[in-house]
Amino acid sequence: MDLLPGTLDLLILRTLDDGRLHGYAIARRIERQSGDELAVEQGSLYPALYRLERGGLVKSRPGRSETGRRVKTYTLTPAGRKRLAEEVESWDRFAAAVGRVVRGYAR
Amino acid sequence: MKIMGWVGWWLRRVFREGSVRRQVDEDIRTHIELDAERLRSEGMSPEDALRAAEARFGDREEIRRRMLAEAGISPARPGRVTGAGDMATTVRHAVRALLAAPGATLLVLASLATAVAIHVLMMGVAGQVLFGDAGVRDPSRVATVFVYYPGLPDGMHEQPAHPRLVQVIQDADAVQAAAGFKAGYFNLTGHGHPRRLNGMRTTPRLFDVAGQRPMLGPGFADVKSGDERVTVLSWSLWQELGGDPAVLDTTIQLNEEPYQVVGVMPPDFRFPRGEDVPSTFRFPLHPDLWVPYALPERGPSDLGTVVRLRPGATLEQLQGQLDGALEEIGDQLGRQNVTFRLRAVLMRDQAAGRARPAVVLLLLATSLVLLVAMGNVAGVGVARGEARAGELSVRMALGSGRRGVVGLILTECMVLGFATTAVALGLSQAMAALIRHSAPPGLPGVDLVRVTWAMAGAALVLSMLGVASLAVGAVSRARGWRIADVLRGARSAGSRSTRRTGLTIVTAEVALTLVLLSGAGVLTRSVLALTRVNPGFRPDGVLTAELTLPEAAYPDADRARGVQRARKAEGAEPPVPRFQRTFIQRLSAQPGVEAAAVAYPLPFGGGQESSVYWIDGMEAPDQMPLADYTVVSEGYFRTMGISLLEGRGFTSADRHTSEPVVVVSRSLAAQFPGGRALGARMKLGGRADAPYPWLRVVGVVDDVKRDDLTGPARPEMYVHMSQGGYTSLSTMRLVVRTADGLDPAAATATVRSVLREMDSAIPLERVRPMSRLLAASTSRARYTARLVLAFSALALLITALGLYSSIAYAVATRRRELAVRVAVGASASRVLRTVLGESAAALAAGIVLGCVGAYLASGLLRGLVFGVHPFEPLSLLAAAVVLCVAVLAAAQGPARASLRGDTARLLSRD
Repeated sequence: MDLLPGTLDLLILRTLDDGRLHGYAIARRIERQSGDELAVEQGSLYPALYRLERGGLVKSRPGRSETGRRVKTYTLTPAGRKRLAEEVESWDRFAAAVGRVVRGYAR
Repeated sequence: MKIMGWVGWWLRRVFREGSVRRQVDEDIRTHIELDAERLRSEGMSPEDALRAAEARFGDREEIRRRMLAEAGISPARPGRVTGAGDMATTVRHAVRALLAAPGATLLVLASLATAVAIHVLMMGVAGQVLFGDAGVRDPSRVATVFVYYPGLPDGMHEQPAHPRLVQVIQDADAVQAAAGFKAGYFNLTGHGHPRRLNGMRTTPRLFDVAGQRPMLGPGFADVKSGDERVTVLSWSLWQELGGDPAVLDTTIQLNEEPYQVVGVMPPDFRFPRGEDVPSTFRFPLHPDLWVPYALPERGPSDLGTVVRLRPGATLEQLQGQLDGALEEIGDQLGRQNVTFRLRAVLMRDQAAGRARPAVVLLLLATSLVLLVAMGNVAGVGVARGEARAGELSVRMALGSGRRGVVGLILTECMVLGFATTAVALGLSQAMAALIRHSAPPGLPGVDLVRVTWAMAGAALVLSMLGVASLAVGAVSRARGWRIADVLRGARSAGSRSTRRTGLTIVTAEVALTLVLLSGAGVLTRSVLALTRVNPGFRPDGVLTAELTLPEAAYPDADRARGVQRARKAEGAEPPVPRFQRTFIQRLSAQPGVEAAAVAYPLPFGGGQESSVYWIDGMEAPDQMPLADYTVVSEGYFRTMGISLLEGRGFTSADRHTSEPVVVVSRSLAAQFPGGRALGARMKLGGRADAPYPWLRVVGVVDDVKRDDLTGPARPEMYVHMSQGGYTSLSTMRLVVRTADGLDPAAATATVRSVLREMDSAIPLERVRPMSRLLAASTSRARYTARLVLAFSALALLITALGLYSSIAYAVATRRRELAVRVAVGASASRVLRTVLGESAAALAAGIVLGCVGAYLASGLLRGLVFGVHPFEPLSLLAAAVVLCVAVLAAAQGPARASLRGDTARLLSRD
């Protein structure tokens, strides 16, 4: 399925809320947690990561993967954490609103 | 500061770009490999794992492009990841963008490059003419010293020095080295045709004054007595003689005598030049060779003097010491008032002085052209920035950011700047060659003008400044680019301010061009006035040449001994007049020759002789009476076409044995008591008891201008060569009037064959029609006028192109509005008026400003024009008309295009 615009950013921020991760790990975690429902092109994660980093919501530094490869790892910045809170709240409202409408129709 | 910030950012971006691209590729590779690793650990084969990982990653190229866009880098072809490659990519993009608008690019490149080229070249000319050093080291310490007679008429104040005065100058404390010199002409034989060389007879320390040593040989270091038969060659003469270093210790035949070559000067060494001494000295422009000269105890005042100041000594100190020395001399001689002074002038000021006004004017003219071109470029920048608003705002919306867009524009400007520099340098190289060959004499060092590194640097700076105006024009439009507005087509607000900027630029260009054009008009009228001046003789159909009789075969008493010669009025006729008399008799008998004569000096032929005189019965005047002095043969007035007003001209009956006679010019005749000259007596020397013979006035002729068409004719006396004892007769000018309608140049062969029959060792030099000598005297004025005219034509062209593009732009942006007007029934002329109205207003404003500018600039023309006021309404009016016609003609094309819009299509474009 397709993601709603802006959803990927939210997913990344949410994933990074649990701690420092490298790009591939972020992709794997979204894949697993969404139960493969959101099996997006993994690559599209990266433009979003670049955008978030440029926007100052995440920051990166060199690190190692579990298998010892040199990778770039990301964490949330305070601004990212704030944005996540806002996005989650607005997502909840959005989802609730959509839910009401959809249920209304269903009735 | 803002611009500097942008440039810095642009540079960082160019070099950052490579590392970003590497990072992106690494991120993608790492991700795919990690995924493949995991899949392998789950049991997939390595090939399958890799293929699956790539599939799960998605469209690799598309993602790469998006990542780069997020990082603010325009996506490019894959495969290039090095920094240099990215620089090349950026440049390639810029080039492509420039080529996408070939008209605008070509306009900028052509107008800016031409303007930069001529300005840089003129800077080079100014550098050579105003600051050229003629191969002299440390020229700020080299001065020329001359005798200054406050009592002489204007233009005659500056005179060469007596040998004793050279001694006085030499002994001044502030002087480190000094040299006295005079021109000497040498016939070179033994190397093909005999030819005449410009020699400099100089006291041996001349090269110390110049601070320059010979490239080959000891020079005059071993010269003791000063009259050795040795010579130092100029580099160009050495080249003509074969350029063999073994030339040292060989001898060359000068005036039939052997001179040992003791040195060769380096190229570009040409000291002292004619320009380095006052123009009244009439020294040759560039010496071909130098010959040592011993300062005599007595002798005529015919020496130029140059000195090198001691380190730390100033010109003022030298002047003070010279004044002191002269006072002492005055005291010793018991005469309180020595009638002259010694004046020291830095050689550089002396040489540049005469050429400075013209050079400054030309430099100003080229800067105006440059300003006009820059205005044009800025105009193009504004219009282009606006026209590209669509493209650029899309780029911004795609994430390039304003900085990315500005960076793109800056890259384009840099590329354009370098291209302009390259084209400008090529152009100035070609034009330098043209200037070297076409420049008239009197611009010292102009033949050395070539494109230097300094000029290349200036070209780069000016080109970059020029394209910076493009960048400013474009970037100023970068504000307020909002994609929504652009996509909706709502551009009218921006367009209006753009049009206003464009019109302001046009106004400025018109004003500058008008200043140039009116200046060119005034200079042209001045040249026309010059050609209408009556010189007092008829130059058409007259051939001139120079004859130098070798001293050995034709001994001529030095002018110092002239007194004796004039007194000794008996015995056989001396060899020089005898030769000349026979020569012109034989020449006159040739078919095609109407008359022939010799004279020295010749009007406009270089060389000047003048003398103080005394008229029998005159009252002692306040000012020393001075007249030009010309030695002629019989037939001179007839050959030159000088009208005889009273009495007779010279005849073959005037001999060394007959009564000394003189023919005076009209203005000299006016000095005689009662204005009655005929039959009266006069003599050389400023007093009645001067040791010269009385001369009986037998004729009065019309005034003749001698070397300057702009000034009044000076009083002049003519004496016959057989009786003239004052000047050397060795070098005389030949004048030949050809029979009716014959080209004077056609007589050259006749003259040569008659001369060869008489003596094949005598060279015939400087064979020229008289009209060319006359033209040469106005060559600098004509050259300046022609250059200014060319520059203003260029400015006019650039302005017209600028207006063309600005109107074309205005029409393009208002196309819809105009289409509506046509649709609702506006007449063609009304639409045209709408389009042209703004431009006409700009033109009018520019003309008003230009008139003010022309008035302010007219001060610079004073002293350069003749027979016309430097601020001249007629030239201004003509210039304004030319400007209006050119500009309105340029406006016609795009204005008419506005009528051809397809209304329906234009209105339905939304």
